[in-house]
Order: sequence, then structure tokens, then C-alpha cells
Amino acid sequence: MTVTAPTRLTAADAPAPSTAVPLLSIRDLAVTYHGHSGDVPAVQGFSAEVFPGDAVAIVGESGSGKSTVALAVLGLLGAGSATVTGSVRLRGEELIGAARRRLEDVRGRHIAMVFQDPLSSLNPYLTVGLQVAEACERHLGMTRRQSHQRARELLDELGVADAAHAFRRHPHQYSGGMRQRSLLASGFAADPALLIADEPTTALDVITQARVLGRLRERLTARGMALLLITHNLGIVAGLCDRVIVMRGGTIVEQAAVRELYRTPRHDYTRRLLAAVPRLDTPPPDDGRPARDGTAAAPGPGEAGTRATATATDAAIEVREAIVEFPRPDGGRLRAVDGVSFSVRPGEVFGLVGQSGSGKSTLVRAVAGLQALTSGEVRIGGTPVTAGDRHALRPLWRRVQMVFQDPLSSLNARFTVARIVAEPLVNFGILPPREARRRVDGLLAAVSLDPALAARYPHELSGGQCQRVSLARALAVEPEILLCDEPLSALDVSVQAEILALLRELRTRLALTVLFVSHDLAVVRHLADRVAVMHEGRLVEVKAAASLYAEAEHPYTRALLAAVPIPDPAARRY
Amino acid sequence: MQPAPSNAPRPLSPGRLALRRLRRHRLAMAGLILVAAIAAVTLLGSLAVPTTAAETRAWLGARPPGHTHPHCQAETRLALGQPARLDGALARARRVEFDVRPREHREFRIALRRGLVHTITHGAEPLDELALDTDAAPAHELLADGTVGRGLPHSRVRIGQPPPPGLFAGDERVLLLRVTEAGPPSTVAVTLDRGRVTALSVRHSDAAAGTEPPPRGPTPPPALATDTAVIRGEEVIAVRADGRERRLTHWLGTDELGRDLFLRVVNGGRVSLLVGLVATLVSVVVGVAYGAVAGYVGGRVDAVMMRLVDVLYGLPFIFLVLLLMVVFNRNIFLLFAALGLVQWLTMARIVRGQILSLREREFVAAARMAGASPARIVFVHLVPHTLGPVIVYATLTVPAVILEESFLAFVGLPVQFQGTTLDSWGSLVHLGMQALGDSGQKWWLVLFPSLAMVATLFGLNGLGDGLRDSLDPKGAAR
Repeated sequence: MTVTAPTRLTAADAPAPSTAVPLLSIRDLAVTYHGHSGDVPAVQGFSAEVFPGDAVAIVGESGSGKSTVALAVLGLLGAGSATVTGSVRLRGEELIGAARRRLEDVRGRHIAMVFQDPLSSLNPYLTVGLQVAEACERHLGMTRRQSHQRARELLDELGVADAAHAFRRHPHQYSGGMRQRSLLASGFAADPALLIADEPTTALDVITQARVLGRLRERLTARGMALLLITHNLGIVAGLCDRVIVMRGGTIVEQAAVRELYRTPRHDYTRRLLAAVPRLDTPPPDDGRPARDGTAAAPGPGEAGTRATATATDAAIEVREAIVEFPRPDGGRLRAVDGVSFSVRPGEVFGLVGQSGSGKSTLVRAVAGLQALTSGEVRIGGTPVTAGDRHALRPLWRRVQMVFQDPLSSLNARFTVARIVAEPLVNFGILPPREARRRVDGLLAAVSLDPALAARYPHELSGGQCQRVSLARALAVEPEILLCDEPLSALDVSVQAEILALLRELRTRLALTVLFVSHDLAVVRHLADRVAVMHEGRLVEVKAAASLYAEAEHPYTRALLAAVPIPDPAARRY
Repeated sequence: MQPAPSNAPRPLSPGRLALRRLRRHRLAMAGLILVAAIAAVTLLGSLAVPTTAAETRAWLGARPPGHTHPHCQAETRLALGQPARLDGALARARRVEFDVRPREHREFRIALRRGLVHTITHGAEPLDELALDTDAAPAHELLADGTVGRGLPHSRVRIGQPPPPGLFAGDERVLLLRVTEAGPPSTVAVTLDRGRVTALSVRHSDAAAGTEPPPRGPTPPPALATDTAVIRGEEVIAVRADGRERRLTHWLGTDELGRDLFLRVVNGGRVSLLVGLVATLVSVVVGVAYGAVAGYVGGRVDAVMMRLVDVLYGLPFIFLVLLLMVVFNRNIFLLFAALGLVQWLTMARIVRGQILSLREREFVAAARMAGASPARIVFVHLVPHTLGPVIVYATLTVPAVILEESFLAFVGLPVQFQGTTLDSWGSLVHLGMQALGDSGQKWWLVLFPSLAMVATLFGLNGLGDGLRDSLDPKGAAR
């Protein structure tokens, strides 16, 4: 195997030369899962090397086998459920077929693993400090006092706020970012030579992700640890790693130094993957439609409310001083949406961006009439929306339709695609059932789906296909307004790009007004005319999409923009 | 809708996937086969035995499994030109012959004084001496259950002498003795045409009252045509239908009245399974509808509906059912309703819980926006998703109901239908326990109904387990 020497400019973490002894050497790794429906090859002919201090990324879409590689390296694949062949050597020592006790020793002591979901990786009944200290005790043979001391140091190093109190805090008392830092701290406990991180920041929002990754990079460099990062996010890879392995369908497609790969991808799949990543720093592709000049009518941050009132009469969607509160278990009230006002003009694509918990989904559900407002008002084309009033909502839903976040959960698993898409046509009495079924083919074609899929059930479709079905259902009643609640967040990058292109085409062809909710600024920028940024229930800024990047005024927007990973090694930021 | 391309695999609905998983579940398949076999036997088993469960043969009494005897009824009345009303297989024969040996009963009274026989009377007539043979038996035994008791050795009772040993038990002074004497054997021949008696004849054998069947000499005695004949079961020595000897075998033995236990178990199974299925159906329909509505509407309605369930849970329901059964008739339909109404509470809770989590799923919001009415959302979109747990719980409810019905039958409240008491496995076990005796001689009366019940419960529970595994939401949804 030819190893391309990782190229990095900073002298501090200069890459190991290719002549060095590899820390981890994987040769011809193959994994076959034994499922109910026969054997499924998950990984085939995987060969790679990780040198001390190296940061290597395995990139791929869901089902590419990237997580399986990590599990196989750690010997975590059950003997009954999978067959692992090939060779995995840690400093020359063969790990495949090694004794269980030896593997237990290797894990944590020499190779540490950090998983995606920090909440399920931490024991909810033990304090965070204790869990980090336990790793120190187990792998370093420390006394209790020593281990507690070291746990505090580690947590402090990784930037866990008030690490001194970590022995009194349980995981649920920490935020997602702090939990992930704690998990990293326990991974660092025994000073392992290699850290394997499987999607370590996917559950975190962009700003937290940037902070955690920054701290991770810093600690890796300081300790000379090697990193094997498994991710689908090409943006983080560019910012964090030296070398990239691109996987697809269980095999390596391309393996190259990070700069080389991003600049001159050799393989076609890599090229497509890179092209699919929506970027914040490049303008959206021209879809042959005169770009709307959002700036003219876009209200500034301070005057969002007053402007909305001014354009009230001709607004497609108008939200005025909307407040949504939920009762909390402790008797208090949680204000999810806190006095939001904006208006969307007919034919406009209005992006709503915010981190998880910012209230954007609640807001869009209120616009759809699925969520009652505590106070304030939502009008669609001048008609007030009252959630819970079924007879008023029925005519409204002929004009307003919605695409939901979870592709599988938004489709009834017991209906065929044809039944799902035909449902609104039948329910609204637009067409009798027989003719509605005939209309389905046309609708499926409109979202670029093979009409043959009409007889399938949702679980037989891919995530992207599900989302297209969801879109076809929404378009069945020929709505004027389409609400999209994070329709892309559960999808792979390349599928995301396809759906994004489809949405762009549809809004032009059908002259749709779109309210598009996303946590991904780059996605919104590629679709929306205007973008509103939501933070803790409030709209902090409304700007034309084209000028948001350059002209962001609110500090939160700026922080958000600065944290978005950019798939360009030159713009390295961790 | 256009057909899928022929090369594409057939789309698999979640239900079909679950069925596939079920087929691989060994315990479930074993349970399914067991339950199906039991159901088939309860439906068709009565065809295999050429008699009916209602036919009592008092002279047999409780006989162990495998007991066999000449095929006949307690009493067969035959009259020329009338329907013969013969039992099972005999009714289809063209010519039936009964070899009978009529019995005559005489009652004697023997009184002792100072350990010696003082008087012997036959009716009003005093006797000096009485010859006994093995057919004689103490009358008090006979009177107790109507069957022939232990025999006595050949002996004589004479006035002024001590009675033969073994005749008087303990300090008895007076004994009623029924002496049965065999009359001369004879053969009753019936010719049948579609169940109607077309010819009837009696042929008395020349041989004196002996134990041998009627001899077939070169000159058989003449058969005398007759208009009517009465054949008592206990007098029959052999039965031939169209020249073939017919015997009746009781595979699982007989009960105290000589009824075939297999047929009773089969009939009891029909009732038990029916009660289990119908009551479960009642509980499913009521529970699913109630739980689904409570779960979907939510809020105050849900709170009120569920508090009602809590209150009903608090009632000692089995006593309520007992009360119902006592106050009203023990009508089978009332029992269905009563047992079903006990079971629906849990079903309602299960369904409500499912619906509560399901209604937050995005496809429900999507269905609302697609213009679906609340009823459509609940019953078309939501309820099918709860079917997994519902089916599983229903499979486990059937045995629970069977057990409850058995309990009712066991405490002496068996099911009735139009005034007649119906057997069920529970009532059979109950009766068996009563007849079991101290040393359990009549074990088969308890064992076989219990075995049938246990096998059914085992099968249903296994099936329920398998269904739970294969309908597991984790596996079914993805």
C-alpha cells in the first residue's frame, strides 16, 4: 500500500514520515454480518495505516461500513453475529483473534473509543467525575485519590466547566457538549496512543461542535495522540484531519492526504461527494431564475416586527408576536417561541435557521396549525390560523402543506407509497380513490421517483426516497405554501444535494412559497431568498441570504457562521 | 396503480415481515401446531367416536382408559315401523343383532339375632334357606350407586346358623340383598332401512342359563317375529352389525355415569376455547376502541377515561362475575360479556400507551395535514400500529379467560346454554376432583381434562411469546 505522507504546514504536529513504524496497521480487513436474511458483507479489503500522532478520517455515507471498521479494530464485533478476517496490528501486535483479556487491556489503555451519543455512553446513575476516574483507576492502576485528581485535571483540560464539581454532577445535569467533553476525557484517561471517535460531534450543534473539536485537536497535538475519526461530515474532516479514507459500500474508494483529496479528488465518487456538500462560502448554483433581491424588503434586526405589519396585507405567511409555552414537569413554563414576528412574501423562500432547541420546529408547527400559540397570531394569506379548529384548518391545509424531518417516521409504515401519496387527494375529496391512485404516478414522477415504487412500503425505501414520497404527498393538493421542517437533516450528503436541487426546481416550477427550517446555514443559504436566525426562541436577525455571510450583525449569527465547518483544508479552523 | 416490474421482489408489508419472523420462531410454531391440533380435535373429535357424550351407561360406572364393551346404549327400545334411534355406527347398519342375557333381580332380607340367622324373607314370603352365588351382592352397595358390587362365593344362608363370612360387615344386623339371576340367553335381530325398523325377531337359546353365548347347533332354534323389544345395556353380551362384532372402546375411560370421557373433553374444549376466543374478542374490540380514543384525544378526556379504568381495576372483578352469574342465568353469552369486560381494562391501557407515543410521530401530523378526520387517524393510521402488542396480549388473554372460566366452573358455576349445563375443561376437572376418591383410583377423570387445558395454555403462551418477538416494534418498524 502506498502511504501518502500527510502534509501539514504547522511544524508543531509535523506528520510522521512514511518510513516510520505505523501505530495501527490494518490489512485486508473484511467483516461479514450474519443476519436473519443471510450474510451481509459490511467491509471488504480494507487496508490502512495510522502513524503516531496522525489524524486520519474515515468518511462515508450511512451503510458504507465506516463504523464497522472501528468496531472490528477494537474487537467489539460479536463472534456470533459477525466474521472478521484480515489483520489488525497495533505496534506489530495482531489484534484479530487475540485473547479476550488482552483485547480488554488494549481497549482504553492503548486505543480509546468515543461514540456518537454521549448520553447513552455515560451511565446516568454515576457522577461524571466518577466515570472518568474509573477509567484512570482501571487502566493506570491508580489509587482512588490519584484517579480523582487526574479525572479533575482531564476534565479541566478538555474544558468541562467547573471540573472541580464533576464528582457531584450526573450526566443529565450537563449539556450535550459538556457530556461529549467528559466522554473524551475518559477516553484520554489512560493516555492511549490512538483515539477512535465515531461521529463524536454529530449530536451537537455547530457552535458546540466547533468548541469540542477545537479542544480535541489541541489535546491530540499536546499529547501526540493519533486520531481515527469516523464521520460523514466532510467539513470537520477538512478542519481536523491529515489524511482521509473515503469509503463506499464497504470498500475504500480513495485514500489521500486531506489537501490533495479536497483539491484534486481522483475518484468520481469523492468528487460527487465533495460537490454535494453545501458550502457557506460559495454562492448557490444558478438555477436560471432571477435571484430575488431580499435586501430591499428584509427587515433589519431591530425592526422585524414593524416591517411585518407594513406588508401584512399581501404576505403569504405572517407571524405576529408569536409566543408558545410548554408546561414543564416542575410546574414552570418553558417558552419555546418568544415573541417572534416575521412575514413571508408570496413566492419567496424564507429560511429559518437555529440550533436544536431554538424553537424553530415549534414555530413552523404553529404556522402549520399543528401547534397552538400561547399568544400572538399567525395568518396565512390573511386568514388567521387556529390550531385545534378542525373545520377552519381543513381549507387551510389545501393551501399549506408540510415536509417533516424524519423521513421514515413521517410516513405511515403500514401504507404503501401509493396510499400515502393518494391520501390527501382522497381525504380532501379532490379525486375518488381510483383516480387518486392514477394521479400518484404523476406525482412520483414530479419528485423524480420511479412510479414502480408505488407498491412499496416505506421501510423498503432509502431515506432520500422516503423524503421524496413525503414531498409528493405534500404536493398532491397543489399547495401554495410548502413548510419544510429540517427535511434534509437525516439524509446523507449526496442525497441532501439531490433533494435540495429538487426543492429548488419545484419552487421555481410551481411558484411555491417555502418556509424552510434547518440547523444548517449552508443548506439554507443555497435555497432561501431570506434567512432568519433563531436563538432561544427569538428571531435575532433577518437578512437576505446572499448578504448574510458578509453582513451578519448579531453576535450570535456571527458565532454561528464562524462555527460552520468548511470543507476546505485551507480554511482550517480547529 | 401499475403492477410492479416482474423482476422486482414482492414488496413486503410490515405484517408479512412479522409473519416471516414468526415462522422461524420454534416455540411459537410448536405452540401454533399444538393449539391448531387441539382446536381440530375439539371440532372434529366427536366424529371419531361412534357414540355421544350425553349417552349414559350407568352399569359401566367409571372405567379406566381403554375400557371396551359391546356397543350398546343404556336402553334400546325397538318397535316395528319406528325409527330405531340406535347409537352412532349401529344406525347405519342394515341388520343388527344383540345377544342378550336378561337378568332378574330378587330382593331378600336377612336378619340376625345373637350372631345367627333369624329370618330370611323374599318380599312377604318367609324362607328357610337361601343359596347364594357370585351374582349376589349386598343390597346397600347396590343402592348406593346402582352398580353391581362385589360378588360372594357360593354359599348358603340357613336359619339358625351363622351367616357365611364376608356377608355381614361390622355390626350389621339386617341386610337387604339383591340377587341377580341370569335368564336364558337370546338374540334380538333388527333389520333396518334408513334407520327405520323393518323387521324384528327374538330367538331364544335352548341352553339353560349358562355363561356361554347361545350355541349354534345344526338346528338353530326358530326366530320369533315380534313387534317390540327392549334391550338393556347391562344385559348385552355381544352386538353384531351386518355380521361384524361391534365393541365400543372408551379411549380416555368413562365417568361415573359411564359417559365417554374423550367426548366430554372434546365438548368441554369446544366450550372453553369458544369462551376464550369470544371473551378475548370482546376485550380487544372494547379495549382497543377505548384505549385508542383516550390516547388520541388526550387531556381531560383521557384523564377521566383512565380514572374509570383505574376504578374498575380496583373492583374485585371475579366476585362481580360470580354475582352476575348467580343473579342472572349462567348464560353463555353473559359469560362471554362478563369475562371480556374484565380483560379489556389491560388492553385499553396497553393501546392507550401505544397511541400516546404514536400520536407524536410525524406521520400523524402528516395525516392531519392530509385532511384525515380524527376517526380516520385513530382507526386507520394509529390502531394498525398497535396491533403488534394487541395481538400478543390477546394471545395471552385467551388462556387467561379459559382459566377464569375454569375457575368459575370449578367453584360450581359452569356455563349454561338454554338451561342445560355445558361441559368445559374447568367443570370436568371440577367433577373429576369430586369423583377422584381418596386414593385417586379414578385419576383419569382429572388427568385428561387437565392435560387438555394445560396443553392449550402452553401452546397459546408459546404462540404469544413468538408473536411478541416477531411483532416487536423495534424489529417491525425498521
